[in-house]
Amino acid sequence: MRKFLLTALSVLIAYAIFFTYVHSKMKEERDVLLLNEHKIIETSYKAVTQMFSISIENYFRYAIMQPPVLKILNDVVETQNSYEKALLRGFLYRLLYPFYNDELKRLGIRQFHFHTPQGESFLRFHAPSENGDNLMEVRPSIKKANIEKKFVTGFEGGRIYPGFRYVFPIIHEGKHLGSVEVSLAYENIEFELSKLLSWKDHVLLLKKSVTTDMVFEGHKHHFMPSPLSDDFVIENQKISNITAHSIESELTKKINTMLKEHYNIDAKLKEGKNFSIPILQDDNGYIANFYAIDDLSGRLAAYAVTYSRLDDLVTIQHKYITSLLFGFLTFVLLGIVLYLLIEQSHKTLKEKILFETIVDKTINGVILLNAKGQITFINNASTTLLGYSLEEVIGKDSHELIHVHPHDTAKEDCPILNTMHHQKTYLGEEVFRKKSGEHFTVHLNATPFVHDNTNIGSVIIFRDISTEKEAQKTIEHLAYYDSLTELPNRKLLLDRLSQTLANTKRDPEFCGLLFIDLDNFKFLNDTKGHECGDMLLKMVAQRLSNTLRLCDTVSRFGGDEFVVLVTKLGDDPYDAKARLREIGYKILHAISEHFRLINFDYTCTASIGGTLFHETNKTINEILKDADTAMYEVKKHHKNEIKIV
Amino acid sequence: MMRHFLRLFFIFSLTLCLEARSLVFAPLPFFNTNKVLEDFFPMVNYLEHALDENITIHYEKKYDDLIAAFKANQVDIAYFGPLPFLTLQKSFPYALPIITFHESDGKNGYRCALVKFGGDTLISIPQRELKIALTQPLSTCGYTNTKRLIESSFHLNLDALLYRYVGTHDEVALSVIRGEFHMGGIKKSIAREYASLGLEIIDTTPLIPGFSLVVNTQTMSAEKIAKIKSILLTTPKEVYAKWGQDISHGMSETNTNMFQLLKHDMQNINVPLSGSF
Repeated sequence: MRKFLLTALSVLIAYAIFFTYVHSKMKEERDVLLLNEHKIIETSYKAVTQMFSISIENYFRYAIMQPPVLKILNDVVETQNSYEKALLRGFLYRLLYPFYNDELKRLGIRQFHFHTPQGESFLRFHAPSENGDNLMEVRPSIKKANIEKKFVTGFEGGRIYPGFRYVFPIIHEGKHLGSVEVSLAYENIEFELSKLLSWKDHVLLLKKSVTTDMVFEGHKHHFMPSPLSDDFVIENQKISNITAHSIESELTKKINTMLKEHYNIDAKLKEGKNFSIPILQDDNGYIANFYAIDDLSGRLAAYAVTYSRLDDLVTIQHKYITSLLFGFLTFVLLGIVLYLLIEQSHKTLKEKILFETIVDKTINGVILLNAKGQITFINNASTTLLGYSLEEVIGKDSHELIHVHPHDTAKEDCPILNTMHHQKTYLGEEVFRKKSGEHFTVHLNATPFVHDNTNIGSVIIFRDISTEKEAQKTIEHLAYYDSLTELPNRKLLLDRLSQTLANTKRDPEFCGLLFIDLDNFKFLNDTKGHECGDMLLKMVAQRLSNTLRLCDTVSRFGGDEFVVLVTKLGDDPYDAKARLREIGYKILHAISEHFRLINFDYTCTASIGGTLFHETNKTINEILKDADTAMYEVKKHHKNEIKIV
Repeated sequence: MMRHFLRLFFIFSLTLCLEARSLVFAPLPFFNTNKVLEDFFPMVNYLEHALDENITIHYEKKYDDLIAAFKANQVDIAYFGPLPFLTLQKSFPYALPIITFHESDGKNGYRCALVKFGGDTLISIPQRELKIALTQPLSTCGYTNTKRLIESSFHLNLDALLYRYVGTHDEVALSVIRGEFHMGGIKKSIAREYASLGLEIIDTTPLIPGFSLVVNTQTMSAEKIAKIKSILLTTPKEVYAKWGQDISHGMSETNTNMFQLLKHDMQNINVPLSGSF
């Protein structure tokens, strides 16, 4: 559950990052689109307002700053008589009317306005009868032009029309004669925009502060409330219908409704910044672009607004949703894979820990080989057993380094490698070589790693069985040899007797069996102790072994009884008997020598009974019985003698 | 019987059709749309609000076009000068003046003025070269009264001078200021507006019935006419004071007797429909 939750959390975080990335890319793409749209309106507005700039400056220089005009203006400044001023106004109107009518109107400019140095309206060519009002406080451009005596340009409100102003101070021979203004009325701007943005609906949203709050009372009705905000007005469709098409269009109405209902447009408009609002509704894309127009004081005066369909928004949206869906599916799949991988990884790690623990803690050596027989892993037990360090064995050829072959076996013939080459498990005992050169026997299990029917390596698990081997030898020795005298015991004697008896079928020579019983041994034991008895038995065994041939078997049959199996006595019964007797006497003679027992000398004798056997004329028991009987015969009569039957 | 029924059906259908559309108001014919609309818009707005009915503005540049539209029942209410109204009424008796607007001096009539630019000297100009600017043939201050003023002031016959119709009173004033004409005939109140450009009044006529709102009794019900008359006559001063210059000095019910002298002039003077040059 914890792993599942962790996986789910990881996938969620990854998807959140992916989501953020896709969203940012979508936004980036959409912003580029909006920027392009915005550039259109910005460029259009700038084109409209700046396209007249050069012409107007030239007009100012070559049509207005001319001696007759300057003389009239100079006279205006000089006179205080209102009648004279009226006449001068009339003369100025008469003088410049052709220029106004033929040049400015041809350019689409209607507002041509002279001001006195005090900022009073002197002559409005677009409304000649309206003059004499002071504009200093309501028209920053006129104030600036007449106080700072600088050319001023920019959007501004006005007593009749808000619009884009070009205000020139008129200074002649150092004398300030007032200013003149050529303006593009908002209607001109709308008209020019309508030519440039013919494929779009567009509206000029004018702030009330530059329109209804400022214009003469009689001009207030040029404007009507904006459908978007109470702070803005638009041109009155009943007076001017330049934007009527846009305002009445279904597209504009639809976008305006959406802007009002879903986009806090009033607050956005108050920010006074450029902005674009992309709208998606019913799988249709729309855009409303707002280009902020500041007045000369840097305050928001108007917005040039365009409305249009923008199907690319839908395309981007579809792409965005597809990416998110595809991403979601991918991340779910990745999550599943990740979960399985984590599960597998945990399992593998667990197995690895188990493996490493087992391999590290086991007393068995574990060696991993690659397909070439090179060592790729070796555990601690192995390095301890072999006496190598890890670095000394990794990558080395195991066959050459540690495997000892009884003969000079080639690598291809190595039973371990060969077995594994055939993708079989090898189980057996082999001899390994330590770093010191010492050999030791191991029991090993070599199992190949098979993948896609190809041997990709193997694991060799081995253990040092040298000690076991020694123990086994000891056990075997104890089973067949007498622990006191180191002579074959009764079992081994019977075994050899049985074997000898079996051999007699193929070998015609006689064999003999001598049953030897030490005389007075009990007395020695009783009087001198078992320690002396045991010492005597060991010395007797030694003398018997020294006396007899290697092919003969001397065994301790029990207590102070020894049995000697003699072979190859010839095929003649008399000779065989004689030889057996002779051997018996040798034994007696050997036993009769003094024994040095701890701290005293001891002389011992023995009674020996013997018998011959050949082929299958007797059984083992019969042979033993015959010899035993013969020995008792001796013991019974005079001891220290031999009797062969 | 059948003919009578069809006529009744036609009148009923026409009435229904006309009632279905919004009221149509026609201001003074003019060339400068904005200026005139600016003057009349507040009044139209006020009426719309008071009647709770949308009012459409019908615009014509010439009186004879406006008269034709009125006669074609395309206009319900129009702002007419006395002479154009008489011209209309002569051929369309359904035109009824209901409200006459006062002049700036508060009188319910106005005067026409003969004007010149103060900077011009007329004495040195030969009589045959004197150019006179007139508004329109049917304008009250147009041919008829200007002819009378030139005769009384200079003992000259307008027909012997160069004269031309230039359209509106403002255009007459401005064309005289520009020097395109030596004199012009316009309403006195308008001449005063251009005094600040050096326009001088040479002489004025006696009081002439003021500009009136003329209703089309064929397209409007008597109730609605009475309602409009009532609304306008009870309009507070602070409201109409904000209307256009020519209609901001108050109003009263039209006295049709004031039209008698003009009617007489109309019968005796034959107004040429185009200028002499």
